[in-house]
Amino acid sequence: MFSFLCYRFQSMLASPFLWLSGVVFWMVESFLLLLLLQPTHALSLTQRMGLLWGLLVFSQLLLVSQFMTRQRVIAIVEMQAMSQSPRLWLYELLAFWMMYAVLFVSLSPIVCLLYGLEMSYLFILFFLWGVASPVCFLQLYLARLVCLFLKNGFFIVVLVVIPWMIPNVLLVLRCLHMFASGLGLFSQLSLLLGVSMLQLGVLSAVIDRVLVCCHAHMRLTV
Amino acid sequence: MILCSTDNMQIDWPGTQTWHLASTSDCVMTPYHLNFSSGEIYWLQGNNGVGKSTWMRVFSGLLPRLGSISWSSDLGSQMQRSHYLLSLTRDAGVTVDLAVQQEYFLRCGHVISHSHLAEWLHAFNLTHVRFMDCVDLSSGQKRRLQLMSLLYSKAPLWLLDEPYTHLDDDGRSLLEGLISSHVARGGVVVMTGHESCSLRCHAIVLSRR
Repeated sequence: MFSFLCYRFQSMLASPFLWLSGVVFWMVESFLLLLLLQPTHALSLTQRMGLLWGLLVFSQLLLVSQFMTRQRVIAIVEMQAMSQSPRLWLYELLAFWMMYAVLFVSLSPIVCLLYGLEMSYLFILFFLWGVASPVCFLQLYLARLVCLFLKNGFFIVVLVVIPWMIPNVLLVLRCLHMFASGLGLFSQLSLLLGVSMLQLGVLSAVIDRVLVCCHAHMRLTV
Repeated sequence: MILCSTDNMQIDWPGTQTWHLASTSDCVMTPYHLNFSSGEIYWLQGNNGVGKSTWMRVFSGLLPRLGSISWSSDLGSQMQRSHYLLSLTRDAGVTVDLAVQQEYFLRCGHVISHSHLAEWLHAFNLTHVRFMDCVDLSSGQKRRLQLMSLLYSKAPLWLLDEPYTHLDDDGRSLLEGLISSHVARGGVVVMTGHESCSLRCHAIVLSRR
C-alpha cells in the first residue's frame, strides 16, 4: 500500500486547496487570538500551549470537513469494494495526516515566534500532537461521516462521538500541565499513548462498519 | 456455459420495493432467477428511477444484498469476478496521468508501466490531455477516462452503467470494439442505458412492484 500512499500524497500536493486553507486558518486565528490576549507574557506556559493545542484541533476540524465530501466518501467506498482493500479510507487518512505532520513541523519557527515558546516546548507539544492527533482525526472523521450521511447526524455526533473526545483532551491537558510544572511526564505520556492506541483500534473498526452503512444509507434512502 | 446466475437478488434495506425482472429471451428462467451465459451481452432496461444503477451496485457488492449469486466453478479462485466502473470523482489538481495510475494500482495491485500508460491513453485519444487536470476534461473525455479500466480488466463479467452517455461516434465504436472482443473471449457484459445499441444483446426489463 506504500504506492497508494505515494499516489494520495501526490494528489494532495497537487490540490493545495485541500490542506492549505487549514494552515492559513490556523495561522490567522493564532495571530488574532494572540493580539486579543495581549500582553502575551501574562499568559502562563500551560495557557499558551493549551491555546496552540486548541487551535490545532479546530484547524483539524475545518480540514476534515473540507476533505470529507460526499463524493470523496462514495469514491473511497467504491474503490474499497473494487480493490478488495477494506481499509483504503485509512490509507487516505494516513496520507492526509502525514501531510499535516510535515506542515506543522515546517511551520515551527513561525509558531515559536507567535506564541513566544522555546523550541523544546514546541518539540514536546508536537510530540503530544503526534501521539494524540491520529485519534482526533479518526474521531472527527467519524463525526463528519455521520453528519454527512445520516439525518439528524449532528445530534448523533453530539450525543455519541463528542463525549469520546473529552478523555483525550483532559489527558493532553494533564500532560501539558505536568510539563509546564516541571514534573515527570512519563507516566501521563504512557497513559495517553495507551489510551490512544486502544482508541485507534476501536475507532478504525467502528469506521469500517459505519462507512459501508452510511454509503448504503445515502444511496438507498430518499 | 453459464458464467453466473442470480437467485432472487434484491436490496437488503428496509422500506425498499422489490424488483421484478422480465425478458423476452430465454436467459430469464423465472421472474427472479437470471442466468448470464459466456459470450453474451445483457441490456438492462427500465424507466428513470426504477433502480438500474442500484441493481448494478447491488450485483457488484457495493450495496447490501438479499438472495444469492452463484458463479461457474471454473472461476473458483478468481478474486475479482465482476468489473464495475467506478464513479469518476477527482480532486482538482489530479491529472489524467495520475488518475489512471491510481486506478490501475487499486484494481491490479501493482504499478503501471509507462509504455502501457502511453499506449492506453493513445487508444482512448487522451494523449493530448495527459497532464491536464481531470476536472477540466469534457464530459466525453471523463467518460473515456472512466472506460479505460476496461483495457486491463481481467474480470469475466463487466457491469457498465450507461456506458454510452457523453460519448461521440468514435468513442462509441471504441467501446463497442472493447465489448465485442471481451464477449468473443467468453466474457459477459451487463449494461444499462437508454440509447440504442448496435450490438446483439438480450434485453432485461427491470420494474418495481
